[in-house]
Amino acid sequence: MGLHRTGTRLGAARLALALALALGSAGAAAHHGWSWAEGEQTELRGTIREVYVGPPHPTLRVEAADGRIWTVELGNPRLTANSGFTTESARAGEAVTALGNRSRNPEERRLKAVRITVRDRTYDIYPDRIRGS
Amino acid sequence: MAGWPAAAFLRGSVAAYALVNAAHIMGIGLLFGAIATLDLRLLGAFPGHPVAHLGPPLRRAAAGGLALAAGTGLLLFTTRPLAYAANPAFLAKLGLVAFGLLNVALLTRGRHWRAALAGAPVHPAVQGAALASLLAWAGAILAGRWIGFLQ
Repeated sequence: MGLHRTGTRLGAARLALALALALGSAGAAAHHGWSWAEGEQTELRGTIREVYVGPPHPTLRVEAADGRIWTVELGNPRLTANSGFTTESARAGEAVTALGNRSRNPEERRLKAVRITVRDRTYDIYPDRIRGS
Repeated sequence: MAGWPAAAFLRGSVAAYALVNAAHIMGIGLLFGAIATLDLRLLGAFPGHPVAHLGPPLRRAAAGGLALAAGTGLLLFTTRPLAYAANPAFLAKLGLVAFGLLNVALLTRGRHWRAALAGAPVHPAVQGAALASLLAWAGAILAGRWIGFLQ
């Protein structure tokens, strides 16, 4: 996967930058609720770069066609398991289609998925939220 | 690291993860509670309680909390090492922890610290280190809390 920060020395400027970055994205309280995400649903197609199924929050990292990496949040561990999706369901390098609500912040490439499709199988994470399908 | 049996176990068990996560918070609580009390004493609070009395037990409690936090933190890290290593908040947290450790290592090697333990008035150099310590550990907790918002 693409690691962009591999430096080991953390200078004061870099620290300040990291904190500024962190505070800058404070608007998106990751995972919880839907208020940080758009009301409209978006379909994201790309290549899986990382599959993480487990606590605290199952997540896919997906590279879109333009090469940018998206964080695709699945449900909490229980909801994700209920959808049928497990660690074995997908692997880095495979194609995925994720339907869900993306962050209201256009700078932030984060999508809260309601349905994902991989290997021609569909996993409905939030069945009652799926629209227009 | 991601392939360690403990990492696989934590990924598969919400209960085990919650337990390790809770122990991590306990370690942080013990560390910060003890070190903040000592730092505040060095900065002038609780003047009726000598540094010689408060210093040793608070340092030991803080070291115990640090060991618990570091051990459980390593386990939590192994569940998703690449993602954590690329997370700016996680890197900031490690930097602040390293700064806090360096600060205490330098402080306790100095003669002003030994003098304070022996009952002498607290030297401004020790007070500076106490203030740096408060800021470093509080900052480490803030950065740690932010990891989840960037993950």
